[in-house]
Amino acid sequence: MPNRVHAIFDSVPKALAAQAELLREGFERKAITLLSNEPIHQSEEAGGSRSHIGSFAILGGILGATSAVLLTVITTKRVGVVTGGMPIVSPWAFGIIAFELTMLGAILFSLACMLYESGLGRRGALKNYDSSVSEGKIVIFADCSSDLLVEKAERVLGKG
Amino acid sequence: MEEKVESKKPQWAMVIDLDRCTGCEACVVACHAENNIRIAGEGPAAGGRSVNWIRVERYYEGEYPDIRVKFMPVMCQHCEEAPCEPVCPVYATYHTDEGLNGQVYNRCVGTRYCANNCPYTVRFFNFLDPVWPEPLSKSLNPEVSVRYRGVMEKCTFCIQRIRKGEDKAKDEGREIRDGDVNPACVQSCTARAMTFGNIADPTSEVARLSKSGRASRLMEELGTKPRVTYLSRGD
Amino acid sequence: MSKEDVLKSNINSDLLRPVFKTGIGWYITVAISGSLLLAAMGAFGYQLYSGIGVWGLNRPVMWAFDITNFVFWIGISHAGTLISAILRVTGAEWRRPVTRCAEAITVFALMIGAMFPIVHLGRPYLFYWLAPYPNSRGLWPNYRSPLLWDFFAINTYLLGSLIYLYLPLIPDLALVRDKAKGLRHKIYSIASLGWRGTQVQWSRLEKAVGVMAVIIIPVAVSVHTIVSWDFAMTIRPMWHSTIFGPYFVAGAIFSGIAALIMAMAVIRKVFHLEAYLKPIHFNNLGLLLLTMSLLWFYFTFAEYLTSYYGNERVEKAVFQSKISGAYAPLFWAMVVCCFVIPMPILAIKKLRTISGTVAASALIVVGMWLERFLIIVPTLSQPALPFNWGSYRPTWVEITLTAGTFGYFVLLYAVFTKLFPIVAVWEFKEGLTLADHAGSVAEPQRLVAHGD
Repeated sequence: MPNRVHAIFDSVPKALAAQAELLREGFERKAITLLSNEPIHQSEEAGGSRSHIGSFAILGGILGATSAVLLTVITTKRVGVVTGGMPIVSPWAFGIIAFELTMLGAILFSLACMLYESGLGRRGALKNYDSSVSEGKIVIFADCSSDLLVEKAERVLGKG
Repeated sequence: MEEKVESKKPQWAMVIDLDRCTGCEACVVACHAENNIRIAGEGPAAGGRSVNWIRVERYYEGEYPDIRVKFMPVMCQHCEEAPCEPVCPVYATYHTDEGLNGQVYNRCVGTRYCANNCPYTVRFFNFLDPVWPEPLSKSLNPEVSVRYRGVMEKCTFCIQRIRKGEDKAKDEGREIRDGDVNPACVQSCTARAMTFGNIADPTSEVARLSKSGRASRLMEELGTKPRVTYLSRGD
Repeated sequence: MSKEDVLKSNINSDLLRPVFKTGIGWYITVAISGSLLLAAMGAFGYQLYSGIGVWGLNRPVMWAFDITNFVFWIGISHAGTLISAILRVTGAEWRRPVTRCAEAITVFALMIGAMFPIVHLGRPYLFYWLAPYPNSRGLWPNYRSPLLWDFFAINTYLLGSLIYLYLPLIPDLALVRDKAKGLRHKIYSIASLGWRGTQVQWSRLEKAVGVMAVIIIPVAVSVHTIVSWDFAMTIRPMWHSTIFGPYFVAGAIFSGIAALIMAMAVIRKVFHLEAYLKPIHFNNLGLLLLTMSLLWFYFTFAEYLTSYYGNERVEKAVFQSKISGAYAPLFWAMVVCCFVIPMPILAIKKLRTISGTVAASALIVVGMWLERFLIIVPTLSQPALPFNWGSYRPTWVEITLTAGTFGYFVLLYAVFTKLFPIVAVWEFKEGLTLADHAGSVAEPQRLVAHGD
């Protein structure tokens, strides 16, 4: 059963120092979580996993464009009505719809990817939280896989 | 690119001889009676609410006393490449395979975009529900639908008469020919300035007249390819 | 303790105060703007009951106030998303207190603008016929129509800018969640999606906001281009113009910045955010506004010069009616409001103060409304065949609807400031931290560079 040790820090440098020490003590990067009310760009934690938001945006764009082309071409052919002497499939006009749906796909896919990767909107997403974050404090959670690590974490995080 | 609709169906067209037009407006009256066109009343008509599927435009040339008046009956030109059609988001106006510029009242949501893109200003919007004073309300043509507020309307080339003429020709087992179909305006023209028929039939009167040296089409330069041809000496 | 530190400790209380404390002024604002909205709803109800004939529209003027308001509000909507996105993408640090304010304008102006294509229909209850879905009519919409392009573009833009507003709002929602109690706590808990502020969440959020900023810029440009194409795709005099796309986009950003400056000035005053929205922000936005004013003048001149020089009969008629005919008073008022007065105010440094930029902005908003009206009505009232020339005069219904849009906008904005911090709290803090680092880190590096 993993144990969780947490501590509250007043300033970013102190929290970062504690994080570095935990890493030296053999904690995995993923096992340490820093909560803060503004991004800490120097933290190691975020670099741990690569974000796929950009790739998902491109994927969504491609899917959006494809569905736009299919939608416009198939349904217009089904209607098959001539207007203004224009061809049934008018690429110039349909291109605009394709552009908008490309963008829509990119927007929706990057949003979905962001929500998934950051674990937002899930049941119990707010477990392991301390509202002192909102006061500007930095909170560190350390997941410990063994009693030895619990001991180390408690020592580093200054709790006995 | 798609091909144009190849059709064996008649292609309806009209020729108007401006040198014959006297500007009597009988065509306007006949059109009102035939097509259940609303009555606007004097005030609203002055404010641009009158509906005239066909109108006789008057242009004056020169200064009094050396003045000349020109008359030009204008209705929907049934353009082959009609600017009003592609701008409609709901296919309420579209092109029939008989070359008519069709208007489906039930599909119309009333964006009025078609009217804004019509260079001939021949589209009319039903801003309010139509009201006919007695006894005109008792003389509505049962073969033409009454248009309620919120939809666009315009000249149909008397589609109800076209259908009747085509049915008759079909019953008699023959091709359509001159005289089978005459819209109300053509029928009522005292000066016989207007001719209607199938322009795809090279022997028809409209086909012959539209090749006349006096022939021109209204604002031809726009490339709308109107199905109405005007004849004029061009002086 | 430096000045910045004092500020930092006050940020939470300063920026959250409007959310937790409500003054009498807020209720008065809501009452006035709400009654304007109610009046407009009454007018719309009357229009639904009687038909659109209660407007001043006629043949040939089939569009007037309705489409003017549509183009105007869609234009205002370019304040936000576009400006905030451009500032974000280019890493302009001064943007931080401005972005939320601007993004909210976008969403609300867009909501109002997007109503008009529905309100202006002859049969408004059938607006959904423009949506592509399998239906009993056996018809799909006509994708060749610019109105369909509008439908797709505006929906994409509305959804995109809502998300673009919401994403950076999440940490601030969590902040309110932690400070609030009872029902409010529950609502903000749901809205903040369980935000904890882990570094993974922060990095994903910043990444997503960055990606969205890049996506939203072309969408915003496309939206107003497509709005302009409603006109440019027709063959009407002074509508069928190739520069309409960029002309409208420039005009939209122009009026958008003006609206943003006015909104910021009001927020600054009402919520006492003098320490956050500083003269530098008004100065910078004023410079942007100056650029857009010059650009607007350039486009307008180019557009009218071509019409004048082309000397085509049909175009000339519309041109003359604007320059010296029936629409001349409105036309010259527009030139004065958009260029003659604002340009010097914004160009002279002494006048580019908060009150100076606000005055210029107010004129520009009026001028841009006139511009849209003058693009639509003179062209429509003078069709190619002079026999059909007409004129237009609005009725009380259209005027009430127009006034109602402004009421609706103020109402939405007032409610928004009550529910959410109008200045992005975390972005502002991050900016201060970055500035601290730049101060302590950049200095020695520069010394080293000199040593070489």
